[in-house]
Amino acid sequence: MSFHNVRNAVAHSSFNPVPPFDRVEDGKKVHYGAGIEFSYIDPKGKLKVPTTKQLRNRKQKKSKQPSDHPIDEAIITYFEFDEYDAQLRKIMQTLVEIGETITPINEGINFTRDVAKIVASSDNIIPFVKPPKRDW
Amino acid sequence: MVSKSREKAWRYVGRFMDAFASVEAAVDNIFEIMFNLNATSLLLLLGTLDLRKKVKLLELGFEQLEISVGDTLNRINEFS
Repeated sequence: MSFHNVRNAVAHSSFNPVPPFDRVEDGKKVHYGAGIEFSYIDPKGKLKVPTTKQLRNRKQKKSKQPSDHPIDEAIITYFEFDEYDAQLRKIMQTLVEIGETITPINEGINFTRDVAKIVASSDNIIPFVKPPKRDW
Repeated sequence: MVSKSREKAWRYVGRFMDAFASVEAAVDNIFEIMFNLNATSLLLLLGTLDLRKKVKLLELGFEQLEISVGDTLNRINEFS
């Protein structure tokens, strides 16, 4: 999954805030943080918002539920949103730094042209003589 | 009257969309510089390419320029 997928799910879904709740799973009380429930239907027809593999695995490990369990699959918690925000800001910062130092790739093409000119202008290179065109 | 919890949800969704749009703007900026695009080409290309394609083209460009950007671009498309 990608930020791109999360963005599309967020942009195209209606949503509602969800309060924190506890649930007993395998005899143990599991706490689910507050978040936002999205009415996003994924390409497989499930009410499931895309999340990162790390967060998904963490959720599964914590809840010990099958991956398609409906309760928290439609929710992005505020904690997850905070993590997304931190990651996006970090990516943006890196991209801005790259943007400040990068040079156009076209210079490479000019460089290739220049090399071709230098090679062609050398005295010890005899260019191929093209046969004259014939009019049939 | 809007509840505080709903306002909080709006704030979080808005912040996410803002951060994502900022990343996309930063990608567009690099795209413009890397491919030395004039205003017309830039508007035509940015309007037709989605973020995935732009990132893919940037990856090829960085390869050509022999610049390593680590996993920054992967984290946009394949963050895990």
